[in-house]
Amino acid sequence: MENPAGLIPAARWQKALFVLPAFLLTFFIVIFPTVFGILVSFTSWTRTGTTLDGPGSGFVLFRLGDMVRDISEAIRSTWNGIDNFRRMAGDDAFRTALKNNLIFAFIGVPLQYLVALGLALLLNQQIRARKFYRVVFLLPFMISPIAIGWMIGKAMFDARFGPFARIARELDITLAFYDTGFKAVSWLIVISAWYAIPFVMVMLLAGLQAMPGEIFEAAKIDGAGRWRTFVVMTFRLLLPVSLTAVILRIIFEFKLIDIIYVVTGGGPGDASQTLSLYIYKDGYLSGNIGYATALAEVFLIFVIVVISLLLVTVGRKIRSLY
Amino acid sequence: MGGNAVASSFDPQPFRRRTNRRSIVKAAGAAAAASTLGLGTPLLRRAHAQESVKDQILAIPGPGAGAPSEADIERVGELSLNTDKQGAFEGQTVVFQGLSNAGFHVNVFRPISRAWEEATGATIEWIEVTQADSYPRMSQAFATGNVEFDIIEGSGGWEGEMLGGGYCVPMPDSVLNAPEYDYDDIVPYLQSPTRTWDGVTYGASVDGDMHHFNYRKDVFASEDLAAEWASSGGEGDFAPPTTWQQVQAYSQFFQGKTDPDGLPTYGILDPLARSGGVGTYFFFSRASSYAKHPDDPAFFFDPETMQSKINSPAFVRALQDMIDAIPGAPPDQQNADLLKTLGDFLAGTGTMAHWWADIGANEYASDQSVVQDKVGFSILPGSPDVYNYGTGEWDTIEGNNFAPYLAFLGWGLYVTTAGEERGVSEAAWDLVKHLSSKDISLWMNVYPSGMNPSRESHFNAADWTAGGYPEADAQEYLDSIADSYNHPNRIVDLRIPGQGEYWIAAEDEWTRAISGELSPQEAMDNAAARWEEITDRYGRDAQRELYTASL
Repeated sequence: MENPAGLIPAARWQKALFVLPAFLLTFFIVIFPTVFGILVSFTSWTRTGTTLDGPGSGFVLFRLGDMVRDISEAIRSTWNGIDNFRRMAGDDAFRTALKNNLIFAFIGVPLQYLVALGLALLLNQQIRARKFYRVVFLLPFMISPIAIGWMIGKAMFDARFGPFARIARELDITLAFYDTGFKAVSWLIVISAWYAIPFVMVMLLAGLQAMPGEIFEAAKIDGAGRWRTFVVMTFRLLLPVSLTAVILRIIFEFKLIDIIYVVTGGGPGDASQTLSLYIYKDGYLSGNIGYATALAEVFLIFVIVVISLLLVTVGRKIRSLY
Repeated sequence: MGGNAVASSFDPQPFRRRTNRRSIVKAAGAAAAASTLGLGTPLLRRAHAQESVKDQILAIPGPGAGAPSEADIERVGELSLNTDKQGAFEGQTVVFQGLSNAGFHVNVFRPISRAWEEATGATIEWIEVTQADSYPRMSQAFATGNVEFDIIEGSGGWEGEMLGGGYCVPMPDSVLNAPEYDYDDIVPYLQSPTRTWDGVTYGASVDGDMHHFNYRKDVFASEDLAAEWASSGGEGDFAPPTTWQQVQAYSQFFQGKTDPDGLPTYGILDPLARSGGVGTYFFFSRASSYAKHPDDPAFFFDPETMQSKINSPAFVRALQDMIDAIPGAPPDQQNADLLKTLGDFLAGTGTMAHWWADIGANEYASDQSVVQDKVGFSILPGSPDVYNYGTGEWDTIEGNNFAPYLAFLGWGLYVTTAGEERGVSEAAWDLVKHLSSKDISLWMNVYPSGMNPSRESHFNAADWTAGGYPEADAQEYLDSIADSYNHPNRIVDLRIPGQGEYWIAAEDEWTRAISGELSPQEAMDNAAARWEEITDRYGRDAQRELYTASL
């Protein structure tokens, strides 16, 4: 039966055919890796102890079938229940990495925010050459984190050949920037901030420039002081943008690996290691695929929970202000 | 001999004039064509060229010219080229996975191979890996069955996986018996068991390895420091240390002192950062004379039970030494890896370093080096006492216990079965023959390349003067290497499957003690437990059998 528009209704198989590309894409990019990751996290899969036969030859679907059988057998033969999660509970390196992630996120990001806010307020003023300053302040964000790790973390802060250490030596002071966990993490927060502040600053500056000028003029006429205007109006109006910037930075800090890899390699020992770096080392260098995948799954859940909590609690608070 | 008679009538001048690549390639092609026609010319050419080629390449770039440029290295490759495969591999691509470290290894192989590529028509695709990445990358390729490379530059220590796993093909007679490869010239421990599996030769040695001891001669010759040493109650004469205990004492003494150049003096440079397991070689150097008993051939495991020995008091003492030496080391030494340490020592930082033979190889011929004429060499320091694993006691050894460590067992070139399946193994072996030939190998030792003596002919100190080394210095350097290779109490590095995993696991743990997260004993107990897991995973009996055989 023809519909009013004169189109022939699609047969069931035709509908399925239209949906198939999207389904296959979603299956191979999202569903399969997720399910595979969850399954592997319950195994003792190791790089050298668990070998796959590799794809065979012949028709592609047969090879796909071989591959699925191969992987299923590998998972079945290495299944170890919740052993990985039990091991994680007593794993000092995991605890240190998690602690460092929290430090980078909840100490590093507020510091970045405060400096970025100051700079944004400054660049929002009618100062000379402000366009020039905006570009200059943005430069660190344009450079790759690896290059920043090298330029700042290695070259500037090198304990023997870096400029700071040389000046200190002239004053008979021996400087070492990364010889303890506390110092290493502290300096990494500084380096990460140097990279990230421009990003937060640009977002805040955009927020500031989008604010309507009339209400500030009205406040001025009403006799509001600069501090009160800032606290009650500017800061509050900026809160949605601030929340977005902070949440994004927290997500980035949770994923932090590049700068640390270049500057300290997570050392000394594990002291400045983050979870991303720990997962890379345990999975790739040590070849503990099962355990590293379990770490990654826990990390994923952890990030989702933390970010959701932030969005719900802080978001609700911000909405209540309007 | 006929060859000599013809050679003596051969005018060497054309060889000296041949300075551009195309003319060399043409000559090689002509020689190959003549060989095909059975004229015997290549053999005559080679017999004559043997001396002159060596002399010509050793003069590139020559004393005082700094590190060789890429053009210099290309020229070495041109002059040394001796292939009868002119155009034979046209259209083939050989994939080579090798190390890319500080301008060494692949950075030298690549320009040296250009003439070979041009002559044979093959193309080489280079996969460069860092030192820390080299073992995991190889291991992952084998585990996933995704072996992209036809030639791998690998350690003798990885042969359990490479050769035992069946991922490489035996060396063909065309290479093994080639005069330019000169198998008999290779030092005995690199003829066998290293580079072999079940008595079959697989790998071509391009490098020989051991850790020896490097110290600053000028610092230990300083009269001012000697006087301070005496006045501070230092034990014995102020002289280069011969035991680890003396190394510790000097590392403490040097704090706050200045060297004859007026720069701060630091003690021993231990690479203390994690480097994908590579740091563990340095840890074992430190433990060598404490843990290797002259009456017990086994250093790493108890061969009866395959139980790890690395949490024994000997290894714990070595780790404690490394921690105790930190205050005397340069600041941030905890984050210094092996390349940082090498660069620092060559840049004049630190008075003592235990390293592969690269410090000596770079002393005169590297642009980085400011320590020309200032470095002395010896085998690794000893100890007056050594731990007896059988009795659980420390035994005193008259004249100190020395145990040179043949760490890493040298880089070798191996052709993979994947390369054979892709049909490029003949080209791959021809390239391996070129890169590991006697002449090139000598040049790579005398100039910075990351390669250290692996042939008897490398120990001729007179050859080293071509690179700017005073002969006496070269002799001292070479003697310390030869003494390490031939020492009766030497430690031959582990060569069983999972070697890289054992090293990474140990490094994970001992570095935790360096940062103060664990005590040395806790760290080594953890490391030993992880070694047990690895052994069980590979199969304790199989590992024990291989380990026992290696002793």
